[in-house]
Amino acid sequence: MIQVGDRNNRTILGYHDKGVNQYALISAQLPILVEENYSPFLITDKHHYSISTKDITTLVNNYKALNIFNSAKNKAAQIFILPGLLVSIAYMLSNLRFNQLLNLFSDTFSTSLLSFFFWVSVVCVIVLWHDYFRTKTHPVKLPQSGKIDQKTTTVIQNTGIEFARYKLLKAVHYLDEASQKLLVPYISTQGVQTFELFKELLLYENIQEIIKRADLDLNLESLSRHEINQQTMPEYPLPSVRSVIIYSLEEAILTNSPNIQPRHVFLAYMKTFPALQKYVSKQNSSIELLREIVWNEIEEERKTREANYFDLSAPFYPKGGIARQWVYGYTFVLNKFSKDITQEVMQERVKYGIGHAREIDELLSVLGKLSKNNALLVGEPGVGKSSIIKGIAQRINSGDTPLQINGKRIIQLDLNGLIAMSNSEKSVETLVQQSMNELEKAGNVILYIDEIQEIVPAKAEESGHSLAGILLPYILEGKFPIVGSINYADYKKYFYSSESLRSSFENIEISELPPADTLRILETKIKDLERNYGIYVTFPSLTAAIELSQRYVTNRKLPDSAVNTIESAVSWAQSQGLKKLTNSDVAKSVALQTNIPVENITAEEATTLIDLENRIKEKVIGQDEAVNAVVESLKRARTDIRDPSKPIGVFLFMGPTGTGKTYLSKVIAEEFFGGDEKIIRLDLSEYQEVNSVSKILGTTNTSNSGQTEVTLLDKVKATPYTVVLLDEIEKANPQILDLFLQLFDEGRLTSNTGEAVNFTNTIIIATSNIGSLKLLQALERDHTMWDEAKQNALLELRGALRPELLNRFDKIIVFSPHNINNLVKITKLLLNKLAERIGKRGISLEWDESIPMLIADKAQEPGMGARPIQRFIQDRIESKVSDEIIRNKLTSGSQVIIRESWLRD
Amino acid sequence: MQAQSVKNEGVENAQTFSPVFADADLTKYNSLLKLTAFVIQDFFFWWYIQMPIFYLQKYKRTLQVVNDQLSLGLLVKSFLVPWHRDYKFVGYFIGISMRVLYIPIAFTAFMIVVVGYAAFIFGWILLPLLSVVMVILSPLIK
Repeated sequence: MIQVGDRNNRTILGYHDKGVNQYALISAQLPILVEENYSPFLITDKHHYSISTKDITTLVNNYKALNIFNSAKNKAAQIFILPGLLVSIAYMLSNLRFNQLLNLFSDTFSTSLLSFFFWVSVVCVIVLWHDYFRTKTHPVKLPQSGKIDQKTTTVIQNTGIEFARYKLLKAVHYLDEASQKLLVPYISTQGVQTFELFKELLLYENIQEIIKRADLDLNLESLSRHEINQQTMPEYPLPSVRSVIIYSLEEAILTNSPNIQPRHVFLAYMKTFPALQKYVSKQNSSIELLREIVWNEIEEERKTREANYFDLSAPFYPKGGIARQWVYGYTFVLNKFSKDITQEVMQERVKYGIGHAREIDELLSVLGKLSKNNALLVGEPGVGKSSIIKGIAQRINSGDTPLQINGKRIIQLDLNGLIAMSNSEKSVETLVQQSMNELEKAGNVILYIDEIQEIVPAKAEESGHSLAGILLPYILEGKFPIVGSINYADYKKYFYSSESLRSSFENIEISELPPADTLRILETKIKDLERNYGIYVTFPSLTAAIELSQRYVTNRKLPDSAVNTIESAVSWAQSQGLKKLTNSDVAKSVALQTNIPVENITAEEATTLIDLENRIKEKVIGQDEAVNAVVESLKRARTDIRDPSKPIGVFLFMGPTGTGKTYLSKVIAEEFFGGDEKIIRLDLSEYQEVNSVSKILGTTNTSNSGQTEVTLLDKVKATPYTVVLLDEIEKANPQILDLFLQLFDEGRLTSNTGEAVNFTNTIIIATSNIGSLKLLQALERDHTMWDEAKQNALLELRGALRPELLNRFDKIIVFSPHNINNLVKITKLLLNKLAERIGKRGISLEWDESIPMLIADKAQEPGMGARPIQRFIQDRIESKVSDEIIRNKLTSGSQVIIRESWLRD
Repeated sequence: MQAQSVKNEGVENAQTFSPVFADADLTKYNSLLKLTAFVIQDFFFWWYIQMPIFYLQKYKRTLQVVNDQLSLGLLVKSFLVPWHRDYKFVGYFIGISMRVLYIPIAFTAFMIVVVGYAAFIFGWILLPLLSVVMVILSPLIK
């Protein structure tokens, strides 16, 4: 589960034991303090929040008293306002004298009476205005709180809390009107009706929205089913309300809310009462997820408010106004092969640059310099380089940038457009010169070049000069800022070797976003996804998209991989006619995309998995130890118990030839991975040279001239869920064996172009013939010497391969030679396969019960395994049958019986 | 949860902050008259102290927004910058001419906002007292 919205380091909960005047901290399980002596409190970085039973009784009394009074006052105002307003309107109209009736009115009533009613109605308006706006214009707001630093936490844990350094505040002050309205009816001097209060909470629309967003089944009807009732949530004495309010306050602080709202009371309930904690746990959810949903809602509300210039809670940044462009130059030529990013993002409602605050600040400081103000964003594909540029464009639009950047435009150069625009009249050099002059004169442009490495190979047709050479003088002059984006592999290839290019830019590394920030990005996309696809997106589907894309979609980094995953999932859900996207829907979508079964195991699949061992043993005879080891690793993989950062399993099979080492790999591919084509085989006897490394990792030459060899990494990228068979591992070049050290341990290999390929969804089986001779000799001499021969073979293996490589195999298994019973079973299998093949021609193949034994006995060769049986059947039976078919003696509908005479020499 | 002895000095002397309502013990106001007096006191505090401060802050923000939207300050500061940075006679001529035409209009609009908002604040302060006075004086009108 992704760590979202954790409360570490922002709040410290504790209680004061008034009896002994001692303080204690509350960490994990939150108690409901029912005794008056124990008084809960909350500490943030600057404030100390306290609460007492007296605060609660004052709150309740105030609320009740004022409620009654205000209610009466407002009713009176409403009674007097209407006649007064009507009268005043009629009076004004009557003065205009356009209606006889109204003239009668003004003649009937005296001016003094009309004036009296009018001014009384004005007083009523003022009273109602005060009542309505009093809490809206001056709401009590929670002060901002940041993280409590580690030093303070250590001091508190060692020596205690220095209360004097904190400003003391009362928690009850921060309950908003809705919370007071919620709590007061259920609080009395006897106690608080906990269960009734919770039921009331479930009726609130925004609580129902939280529950729906969390994909929980929690409503009034389902409470009894989940053992949430009067017994599990009993009535508590009055002092217990303090705990509820303090915990609600904590939730308000953690969700950056301006006050304590009913949804925070809901969160406090969910994290405090064991019945509710148990429910949340059973639903595979968490308080952190619920908190994240509330955080997101409050954030959306805050963004809506801040969009208003006149909202005093948001700072105002001047932007320049309607005549801003008068003071800057035109860019006519440049506009033809560029786009204005600042204009583009103005139309969009998505927030860019989330999670990249540090990189954005770094970029702004580079762009704000007077000289050497070019920047290069370097990072893997999908980490958010373009998002950072758009984030800066958004900040320019809102005015939240340093003075030197204020009012600037970000123009993205379209390199292909530039080259396409050049013709016989205007060469690329001319166009570049004109547009660069415009840029210099404009004075308010930041030039952005995405995939900036393209300027190196791109050439002007007429002169043959590279675009990099044409642009370089302008880059070096630094008369306007230039930002480029590039990935690591291309930076190494194109920029590293060019001193002038490298030194013209200040590099800013963009790293992959952590899951928590990626979740924030996905949250911003919810509304757009729901609007576009008409599907309700739950929060667990967002966290599932992040987890699954981290594990299974490894060709892109977060956040891009998660964004793609959620969009694909929503699109798939729409095609299936679903109305709500859940985490299992996301898993199904990822499984379809990657061909890796990531969904939960169905009943049907469970039966298949339970029976897997037997099915494989029916086909692979006599190698139970190997089959058991492999099947256990496959089961662990399918139930997600294994370490996800390694391959499914790494095995080394040794033993005499023909005992089924390679055959077992093929059967696994067929039975578990879905087809006997799901196997990538490397014959490592072909990898004895040093340059064979390129057959695995590829070359650094990424030019498109000529055909490129398909490497192991290409194959695994195409089919990530597969068997990788490494035959004759002892023959590989030592450099290749070094690669396998990383592969077996970390489940990935990095190509020569810098791309990391994920092997964590493969099972790796290596085979070796080391010690085969010793094993064969043992078989020929004496079968009882087999165990000793096995040990010798293993010793020989330790001498041939390095210990660090051998140590990385999950199991090393020596395949046993086949005894006569196994050979008979193998014969039957081979005969059945032959019968199947012949059966396709409509011809049935039959044999007597004694035939398999005869074949096994005749064909067996010590130490040669099943292959002699195969050759025997091929020579004696298949050839015979083929001959009969050619001579037309066997046609569709015929029957052929294997005769003993066929088997004799 | 092990209780520990910690420093607790300063708790009694710590500053408190609270809005008018929340700290008031309204059980003291055990008659309608006293409660009415309390509410009137709160009304005057809100209408004559909190809201004027609020409106003055809004006033300042409004003037900032209007100035920015009209580009008034920007154009005055860049009065001699030629039109779209065309450093020729034409650029200077157009630039200055546009500013000479535009700035007075923008300034007029700005001053309307200045005076209008100030009038609003003045009216706000006056309104309750005026209303009450007029209610009292109305019967005397003929």
